Amino acid sequence: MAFDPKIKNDLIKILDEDRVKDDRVTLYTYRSDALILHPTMPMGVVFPENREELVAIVKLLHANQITFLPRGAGTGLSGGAIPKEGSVIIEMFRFRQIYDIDFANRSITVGPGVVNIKITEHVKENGYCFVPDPSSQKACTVGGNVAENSGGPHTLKYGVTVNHILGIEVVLPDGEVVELGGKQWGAPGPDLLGLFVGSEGTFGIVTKITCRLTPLPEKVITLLGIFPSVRDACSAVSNTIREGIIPAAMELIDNVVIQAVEKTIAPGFPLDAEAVLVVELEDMKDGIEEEASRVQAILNENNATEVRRAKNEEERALIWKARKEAFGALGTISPSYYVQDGVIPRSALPDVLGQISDIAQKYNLTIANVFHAGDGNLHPLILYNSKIPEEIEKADKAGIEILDICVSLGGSLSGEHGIGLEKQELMGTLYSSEDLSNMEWVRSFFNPQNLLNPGKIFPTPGKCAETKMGPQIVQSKSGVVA
Amino acid sequence: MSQSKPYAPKKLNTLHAWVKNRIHSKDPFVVLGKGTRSPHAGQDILSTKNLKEIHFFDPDDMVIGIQAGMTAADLQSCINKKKMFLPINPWYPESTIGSVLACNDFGPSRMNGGGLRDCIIGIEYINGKGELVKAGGKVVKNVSGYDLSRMMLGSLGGLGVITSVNFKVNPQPAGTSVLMCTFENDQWVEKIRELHAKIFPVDWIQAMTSQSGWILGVGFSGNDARRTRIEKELRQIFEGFGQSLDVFDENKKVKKTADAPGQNRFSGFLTPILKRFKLGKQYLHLHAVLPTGELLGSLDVQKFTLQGAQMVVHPIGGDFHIFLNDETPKAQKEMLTLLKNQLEGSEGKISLIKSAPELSINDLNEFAFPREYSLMKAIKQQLDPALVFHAPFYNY
Repeated sequence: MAFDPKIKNDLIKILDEDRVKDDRVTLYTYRSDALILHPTMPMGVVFPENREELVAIVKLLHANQITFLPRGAGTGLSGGAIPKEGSVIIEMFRFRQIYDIDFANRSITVGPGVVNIKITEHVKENGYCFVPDPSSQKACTVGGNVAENSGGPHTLKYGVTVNHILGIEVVLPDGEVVELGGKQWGAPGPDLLGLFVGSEGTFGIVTKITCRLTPLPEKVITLLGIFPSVRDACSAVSNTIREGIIPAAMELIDNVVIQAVEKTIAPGFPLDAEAVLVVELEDMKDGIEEEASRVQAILNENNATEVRRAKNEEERALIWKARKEAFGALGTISPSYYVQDGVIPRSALPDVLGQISDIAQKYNLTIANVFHAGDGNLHPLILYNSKIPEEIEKADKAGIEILDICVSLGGSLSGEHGIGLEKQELMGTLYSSEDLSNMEWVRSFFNPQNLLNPGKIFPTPGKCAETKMGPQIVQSKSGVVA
Repeated sequence: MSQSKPYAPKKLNTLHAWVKNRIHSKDPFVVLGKGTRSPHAGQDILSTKNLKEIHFFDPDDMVIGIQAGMTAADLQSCINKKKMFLPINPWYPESTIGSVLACNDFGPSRMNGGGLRDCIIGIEYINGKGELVKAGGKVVKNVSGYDLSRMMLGSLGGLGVITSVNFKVNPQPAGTSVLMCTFENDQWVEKIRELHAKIFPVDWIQAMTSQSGWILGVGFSGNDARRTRIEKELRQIFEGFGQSLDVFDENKKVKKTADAPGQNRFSGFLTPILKRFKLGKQYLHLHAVLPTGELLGSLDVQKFTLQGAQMVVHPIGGDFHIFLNDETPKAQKEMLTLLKNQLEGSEGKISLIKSAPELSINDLNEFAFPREYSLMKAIKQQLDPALVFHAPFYNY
């Protein structure tokens, strides 16, 4: 695949030769995002640096009926930035401007290519942060966060990306530039900004983002509950929230993951614990100790064998490093893993974790768990060997069974990774055909010719879950490629 | 053809069939709840007020799903029984939740608790093809498919008929308190600037006009130690200014005062405001939003009060309400003009909530319409091809 010579020439007129690429190395590099599912070579990759260049590119591609899609850092786990064959990838990583920091309105306006963690770094000294903190926050871009409506551990108390975006500037698929929202908190009329966030790059390409800034807490207390069973840890989560305490984060890590992170990060988690529960409380320094004491008591009442407390920022950072880099750590104990992102009602956690364990037994596989327990957002990691075809098949079936459980309990297919290519064929299990066609109707308003990021979110006509959700998914989602 | 009495079926199936027929015959109608806002003359009216079922309420999962006809007051009462709350305080508690959603109503709690935008997790509505469709779900975190719940938020009945809504609800805090100060003039604005600069975690701030000037309420919550600290900090800012300062604790016996009767003071004294203002039948109620920095930096509230307006201001978050207890269209139009002049050159936008029938959204000119208005009009055209969901907002 490569650019048609005339298109390439026109693109070079807009950009320059260095920023219009269709060499084999570039195409291979951009064939997928972090989901190595259905890798597909793009027609080419372009690297605009500003809105004017982007508009000119979009208009050119639109006029020539060429499909295209934006890409940030490529850290997405659902295949949202995987091209359809023949699509042009528009790399947005060069939109890294910080336009405006406005403390009176508690906002910062940035380009979509700014890396998530950089926002907080810009405003931390003034007492603010940008709340959404996906595990990939050292690499992922804010534009990607907007596209996927990303979450992270601290969304339990503060909400996901959509709750922290005030306004955006967007280039629609025909090149028209529109602004949604602004620095004011809302305006008359339908909340198109809320609709746009999480549309997985199928409505338009974001060129400017005004983010809400949140005051940093005066004090943070990080507790680590050590449990003899996953069920006890899950009960502690439910009982904490039932008492009216909403911690900033509640993250559960099971024994399989403990073994892995102790080999790599060594946070000092007991190797014989069946689960550890990270509970982070954030607030003013007055009153937080009482809340921490109450949480500690709840953890003990739910059979915690020990409750530790991070004594300083270094200890806290180590706990979070273990949590946020847990997926990678699994490479030490398994050649491959397959991660899910289903959501269940939180009160069902203890039972569902038991059912996941049963599924693991049924298929003779190991399933590790490290997830946002407070939100009921599961991340079961199915460990397998991608060199053994039967294991690939079993892992695939186990993954579908886990998502079936989520949906049957009134849950969701995805809490923060998005649907993308990965789960599109399962959308029919969650929504009726009318629900889905209604969503497509809305998409057709923004993207009438489906030139922008086609083939995502919605089931492929004529295919069903059984035919597409095959072993290839599992093989390609290996954390460590064998 | 227009009917004087709203059609308000009790069954969803009946309502759905009625809407499908109207779409088929391209016969427009207005959707409303109980009609607590200005009446819509000359249109057939569909009311969802009799759809009042609770689909589910799971306090442990902090979620509730209800039909759109339940009133905001009944919803709060239902979840309060399980020590939960929804951080919304619509101006008219008898409004149905479908109406609150369609109008994107909010009150002082939005400042810290977020508005409906931050609570809604799922929706069911009848679309412009007559289909009963759903989006979102019943879990607190969900990115499966487009977020059509938020698209319907603020849609003013123009994109479909909302029939059910799912919300994330919050546990009630351990305790709530409110600091109340009275001021002879708008001196409170300067104090709020000071509070805003301190990045201080209060729940809500509301200033309202009174017979003797202004009353300022600052709500805060948490356990005793937290509230004691906040009270101390607030006293440092406000003590010595204004005419009086009191701090009330919800867990202690609350004395009734003329300024903020009963428990309502803990949520921003919303309904009592309307009673206190002794509003007639055709009063003017305008709502304006603008960035916090602009409100705190340049809004001259005295311009309105000197012309007889009564006001309620939420300075952080940037919105304010103007009430004029004068039913003559001339006086109401003059007040509107005054507001438009004040907002000239700002990002401010205005909603007309109640008025004499002679006033309409067209009198607001560009102040009614956000920068994405042309997109809103276009999406309305796409999603209401039979043009049945009558909503003047889209006709400018």
